[in-house]
Amino acid sequence: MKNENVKNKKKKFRLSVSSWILLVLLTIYAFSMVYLFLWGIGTSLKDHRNFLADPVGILPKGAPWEWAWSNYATVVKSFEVDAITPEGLTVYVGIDWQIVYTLLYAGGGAFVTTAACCIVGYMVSKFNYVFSRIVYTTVLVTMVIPVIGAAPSMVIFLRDLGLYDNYIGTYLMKFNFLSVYFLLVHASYVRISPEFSEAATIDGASELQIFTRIMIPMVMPTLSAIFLIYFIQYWNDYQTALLYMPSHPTLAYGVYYAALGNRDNSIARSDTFRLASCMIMALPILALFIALRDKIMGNVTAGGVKE
Amino acid sequence: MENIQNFDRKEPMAGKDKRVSLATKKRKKLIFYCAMMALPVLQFVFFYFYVNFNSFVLAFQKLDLVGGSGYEFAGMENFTTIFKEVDWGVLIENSMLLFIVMLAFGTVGAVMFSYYIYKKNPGHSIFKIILYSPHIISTVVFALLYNYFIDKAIPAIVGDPNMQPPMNNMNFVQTGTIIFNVWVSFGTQVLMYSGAMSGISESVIESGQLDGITPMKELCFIVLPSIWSTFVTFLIMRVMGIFTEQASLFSFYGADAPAHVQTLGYYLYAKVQAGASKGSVADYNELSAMGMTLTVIAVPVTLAARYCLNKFGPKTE
Repeated sequence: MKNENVKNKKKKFRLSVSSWILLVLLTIYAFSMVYLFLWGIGTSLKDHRNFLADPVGILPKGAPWEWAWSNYATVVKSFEVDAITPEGLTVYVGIDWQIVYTLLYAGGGAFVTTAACCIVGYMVSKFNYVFSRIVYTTVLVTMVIPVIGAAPSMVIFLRDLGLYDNYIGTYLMKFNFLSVYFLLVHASYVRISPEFSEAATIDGASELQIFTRIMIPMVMPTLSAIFLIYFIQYWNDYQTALLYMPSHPTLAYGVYYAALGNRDNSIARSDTFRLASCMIMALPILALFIALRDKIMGNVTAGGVKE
Repeated sequence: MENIQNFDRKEPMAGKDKRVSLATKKRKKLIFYCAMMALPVLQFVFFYFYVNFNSFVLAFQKLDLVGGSGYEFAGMENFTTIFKEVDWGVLIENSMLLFIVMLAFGTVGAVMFSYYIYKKNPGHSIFKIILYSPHIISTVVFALLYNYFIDKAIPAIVGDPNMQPPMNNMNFVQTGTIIFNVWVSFGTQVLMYSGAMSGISESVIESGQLDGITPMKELCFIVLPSIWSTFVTFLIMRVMGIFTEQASLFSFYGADAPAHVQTLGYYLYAKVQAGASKGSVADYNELSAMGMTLTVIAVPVTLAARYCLNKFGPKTE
């Protein structure tokens, strides 16, 4: 029995030449990715002189308590974006407000996008009207047919309605069900047996109660995964804030701003400060991903099976 | 509710009462449906349909900046302007170059890596997470890290501190950004492909192995045809990317990317953003005309690519 296990194990790790090549390529890839990120963390903890003396090394000089932790304190204190409002006024937005704007955009945006997929997915899957079939087909068609260059029209539309550069406009823009995640939610609802809603109807539940108290809890794992995926996507998205919410800079916008280095403040001038600002933005979302990776990646993978 | 509770009591109802109850139930269901669908449908009508329709309208209009009379019909003037002023040759060439390289390395690499992960070879779990990590950390962060490492660390590694920073070297910019784009491109593709591969029947794989099939033949003749629909989806997205892909240039250079590396997607976004930051929509009509031109080209190209891939692609039967 023991010999058989050893034999199986040996068999399992006997790789073909092509697998060896792939292993080498993947190892190089993983090394480059991990090294670069660790290099970024290490460099963000170097003082400027230390960085110039040793730009390649990961670890800063000295013991951990001698590292330039003050880079982070400086960034928190001075990390400002001078944003311009639609009225042409310049507003200085510190890191505290950037965090607030990030949470409002990523949290609120992810919530409304998930809500749109959740509502339309339920209606289309459980209400057998002709309109439901039209909506489903529309989603498929819009995913196949590319419409390019609508951003100018969107900016003008939001400005005309007074929705430009505010959260109501952004949330309305994000309350959008035209995505692959709609199909994922739709498939989750389809899998639920109609017996649940029939039993609830017999017990006197209204349509709204069936939806909110029975159906949503049953697809909650899918919905929470979609929320997390959108949260991460919006957390990292600086282009929407740059184009549609210029006076509400998020952390990603702030990092983009610092990255360009075309302004006078101390963050943009110092390489180590810039990298510290990057890490302030990247580390929380990386921690969130590591904590919830199975939930996020499991559901994305499930989306792949459905294709 | 009262009618529904009648069902609960299971008391026999007169035929007419039953009909009324069913009609009320249907009506309530329809009202609920309409109430719930109203906002998403309105959002679609205004934020998708109207915005895209208005984009086409804008393409044939001109903003009267002198007279201040608003938008006027301009015929094909915007199209004439963009064909004269935009350097289409460079934009198309760069977009196509990016497409070809991403297809050759990004897509092929993603399929090979997915196959490795699907076969549960050593380190598959950790590789899967690392391959997905560029989707967790913002492109702007990766671009900054990549830029700094190339510009600051590479001269130190090659022992030439006076070397021109590569990402500021006009001859290297394009190569550098394309390598970056391939480097961060695998994540979602690998997840989707490996997910789709996990749905392949074990018996199909085993029968191939009994016939002595090599791993590469297994990938090409069993695995790839089995995940063909997922593969086609990503290829189609890649084809659409010819017209929309920004090549992360905005993360590297903001609105000032060197002209010789700009892509169609970057050009459009950078121009729209420049207008928005200045509070001016004067160029938006021309940009809408450019968007419309690209849509007119992109739709048949995408549909043709989809048709060909489905028609001439491998069949699982």
